[in-house]
Amino acid sequence: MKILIVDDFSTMRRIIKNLLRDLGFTNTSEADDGKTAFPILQSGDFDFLVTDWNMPGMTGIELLKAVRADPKLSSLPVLMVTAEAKRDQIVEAATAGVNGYVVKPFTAAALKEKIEKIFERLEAG
Amino acid sequence: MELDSQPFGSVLKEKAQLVLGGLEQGNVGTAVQELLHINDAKTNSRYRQIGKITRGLHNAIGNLEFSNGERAGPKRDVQSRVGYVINLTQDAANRTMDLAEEATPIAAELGTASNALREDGRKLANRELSADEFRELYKKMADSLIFSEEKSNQLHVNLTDIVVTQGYQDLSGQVLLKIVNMLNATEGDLVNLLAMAANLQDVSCIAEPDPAVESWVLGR
Repeated sequence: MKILIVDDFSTMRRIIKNLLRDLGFTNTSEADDGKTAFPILQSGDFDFLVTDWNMPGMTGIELLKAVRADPKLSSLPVLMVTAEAKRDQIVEAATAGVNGYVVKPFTAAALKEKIEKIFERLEAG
Repeated sequence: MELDSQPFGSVLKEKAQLVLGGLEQGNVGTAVQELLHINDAKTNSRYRQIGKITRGLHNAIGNLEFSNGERAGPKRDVQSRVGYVINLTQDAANRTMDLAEEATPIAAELGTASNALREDGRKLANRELSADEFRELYKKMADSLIFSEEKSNQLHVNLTDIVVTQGYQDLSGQVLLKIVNMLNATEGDLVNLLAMAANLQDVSCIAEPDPAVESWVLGR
């Protein structure tokens, strides 16, 4: 399971990487913006994307839409981890095809639960 | 000729020629007419500049706080955001210390349990255990290991939570960036204001009028 973590704050990337390692996911890569993340996704075989929303170059929602629009990446599971808690943003992400949404600040349990739920649903087909 | 859109400098140049021309031809009426046009252009230009400055001032002041607190501009925004960052970082520091303080006795308990077990092992090796104590040993070991496992799990939870708590840096960092952007915007507004005010002085003689220009225009 190869996972890409995207957030413009390195401390947040480190926290998410730490929690993923706790869940047994040790094969993780990082990017600090949607702009740098997209080519990384296109060139690697990633199984999961965790991304922030607010990033200076390409936002998380733009990255999500780009991923869904790319035939090679369109079915990539995406979890959004963001400080944005407004209803219309959550709806916009859901409409764009996000698989899960976690609002910062989150607990370790909350993040783990969301990730497990995404994989449950994917296995169920 | 559109007085409204032509810069005053070029109007002045154009009309000054006509004033001179009129005077040279002995046509005072024309000369005075063109002087009046120059005056109108100056006034319009001044009004335009004042309009620009008023709008600029309105924007910049709109970004500051009115004394009756009517509008929450960046100053109030900055204050509330700085307050948010202080509270957020304080809470994170306290939570981290709480988790660490909880973990310290747990680590000590684990040490104590291991020590007790080691002591039992030593007694066993030295045949210092009574028959009853010997029978109890297995149960003691099992209990001790369960205890260690539970406490280790608790430590793991605490350490993970300490890591998660450091997420305050991301949240406070985002807020601080917003504050910096707001301050840059306000600074930009004020710098524009200064530039416009300087321009107005040039064009409309609101500052020191140039006595040479004044006497020439008034025909002294």
